[in-house]
Amino acid sequence: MLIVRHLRKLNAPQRLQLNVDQTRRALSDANLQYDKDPQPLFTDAETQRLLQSMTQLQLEKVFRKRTVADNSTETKFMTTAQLEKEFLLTIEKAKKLLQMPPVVQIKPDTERVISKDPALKDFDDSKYVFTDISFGLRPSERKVVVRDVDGTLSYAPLETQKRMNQLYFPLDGRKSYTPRMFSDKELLQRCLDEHKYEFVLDRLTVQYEPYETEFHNISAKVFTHLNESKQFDLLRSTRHFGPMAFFYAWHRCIDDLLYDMIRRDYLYNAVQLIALSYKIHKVPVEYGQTLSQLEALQPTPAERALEELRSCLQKPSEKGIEKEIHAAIGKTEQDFTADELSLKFIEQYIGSEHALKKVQLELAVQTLKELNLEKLQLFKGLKKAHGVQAS
Amino acid sequence: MSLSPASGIGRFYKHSAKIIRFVRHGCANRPFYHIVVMERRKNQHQPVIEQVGSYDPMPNATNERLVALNTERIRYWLGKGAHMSDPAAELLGIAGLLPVHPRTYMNAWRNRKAAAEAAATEAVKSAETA
Amino acid sequence: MLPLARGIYSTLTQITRNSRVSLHTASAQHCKAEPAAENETPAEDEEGENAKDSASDPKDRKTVIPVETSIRYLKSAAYKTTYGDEFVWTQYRRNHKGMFAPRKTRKTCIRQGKISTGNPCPICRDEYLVLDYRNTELLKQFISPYSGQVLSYSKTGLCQKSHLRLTVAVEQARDCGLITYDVPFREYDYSEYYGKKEDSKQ
Repeated sequence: MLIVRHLRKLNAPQRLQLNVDQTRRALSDANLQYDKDPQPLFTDAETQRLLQSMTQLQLEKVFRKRTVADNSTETKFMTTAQLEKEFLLTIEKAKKLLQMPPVVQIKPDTERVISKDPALKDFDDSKYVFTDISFGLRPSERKVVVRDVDGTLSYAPLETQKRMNQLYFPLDGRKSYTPRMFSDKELLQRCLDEHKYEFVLDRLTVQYEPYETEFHNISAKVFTHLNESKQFDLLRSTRHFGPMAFFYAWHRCIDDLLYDMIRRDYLYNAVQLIALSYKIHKVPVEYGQTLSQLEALQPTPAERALEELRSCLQKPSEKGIEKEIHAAIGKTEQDFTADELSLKFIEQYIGSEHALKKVQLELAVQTLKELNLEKLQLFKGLKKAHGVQAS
Repeated sequence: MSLSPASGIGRFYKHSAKIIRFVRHGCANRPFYHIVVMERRKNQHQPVIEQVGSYDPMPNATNERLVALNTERIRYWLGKGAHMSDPAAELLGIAGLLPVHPRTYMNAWRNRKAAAEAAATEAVKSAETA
Repeated sequence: MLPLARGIYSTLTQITRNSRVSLHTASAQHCKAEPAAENETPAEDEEGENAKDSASDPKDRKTVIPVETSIRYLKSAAYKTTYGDEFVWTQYRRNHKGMFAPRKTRKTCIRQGKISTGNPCPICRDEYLVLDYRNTELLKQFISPYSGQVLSYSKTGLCQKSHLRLTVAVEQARDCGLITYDVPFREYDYSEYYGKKEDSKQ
């Protein structure tokens, strides 16, 4: 509520009544739901690419030391070529670890009766639950049927089905009861206040199926809390960043995330986020061209990681002076052109009626521009001083 | 005694009579059954050819009796001409895999009758006290 | 001789009472050196009323210390002077005859509300260390930073009863989300949620 008030104060004159209403509803209501099936939009190839790129691939974070029973490492001698090959394999592995939990609609529980036999009424004093344990079936394909005391044979409700699956084919980490962290609201709130977002979401993915009501409620709660505390960096380069960005884009509250991205100088991601929200809400703005231009300028995560590896292996004397300048400033010429392009796109978004926190965003963009200008001047100066040809 | 694996260790002749039956595990006052395929002539605690399911006859906290059936293998063995023991046939009938066993209908009828009689005597008693 | 010994014993117990580490053998020396730590003890007021009967017997463990007191104690200066930056179990050594310690630690240190041994385990020797799922600071000292599991009693020297209570408390704390751990990775089969059609598209 406080944020909404703050927001209203910030852009009182230019706000659009419709959008503010939607955001107010979005932020005050903890149980945000997807009002229609988000699946086609989420599984769309372009959306997936945008979300994956936004997630970023920080290898230290993906392969951080985990406290698991076996975290042994292997040490090997390799040639540089072997090492690079192995490194590319590692990146593939990292991508697998960043697999996003699917975003699907809540599945309603339908009763499906197979047969009714009134002659079987009272055949026993408790019902029978039959589970098919045939080898090689997936959990969703596994048939669970219930014979009720009154003789009806029907497919089991989802809750029973999940329980039986867990009983006969346990999923590692899932509890057969609801963990107190999820059943007790205060404990969940405490976890969120301590910023254990990744832990809560990890546990949520293990404990619940993506189509369950609890999954939607709790993840919505986590994302709204995250939007208020603005600790987006905690989820960056984890598997939950994609669904989070999708959630914000869907519920028209991307501005805080956008601000965070601009502040951290992830302009490409900011452009992608805006493009995603345009795509979801079918806003008639041409974003494809900017995106493809930017994509051409950006190295893929694999290339970037490989580059880093190579620079680690090289001796400092072997590096060219140009690379050293890049390393000192942190940006290349390509980056500067990309920044210019994306800043233009972002400013266009801020100017449009879709942005809600205009003042804040404008300020961030302004600061970044000044910083970039300084860097550019330094870059040019250094180049000139070292006598590197301007290409 | 450790349990034999589900893809049993029991030895059998090719043309001997096989049967799908219960084997009682669990302990005193706590029955638990494995549904297994074994040679008909053998004692229930001999090694089995294959385990095809389990049956817990004691209702759990939500008042359900849990049965697990490897339907694929059951159908295979039935197709091979395996026999069925009566309790196993009853259970598969309740599961809807086979036609409902006549004994299940008999039990249901008896239970209904007993319940109706109990209700009648209860009604008479309450009428007397009133 | 006897009265003299008793006198020494009573002064010794007085000192140990004062510094609130009644039977912490390892710290007996620097307890004497820093008796000023007494004032910081969080349990000062609770201690007041039953000071008489428990002061007469330092081995008494009948009074139940609330968890909140224990949590405050772990943050206090008294705790700092006793244990420093080390874990509560690092300084503890088991007493045993021969070269090798018995495989298991003793069953319990406290019998009938009294310490029944001369070398009680790290939890039992300090009555303000309460094993409870809310007392996360204490529980974290017993969790391995490498495997995330509860450390074995052969390493920490806890008695069997304390160790059982510790494992229960850690499990409860994990269930409540008070202690984080690495949740096993769950790989999703997308076709299970989006149907086969999506599979062929990708």
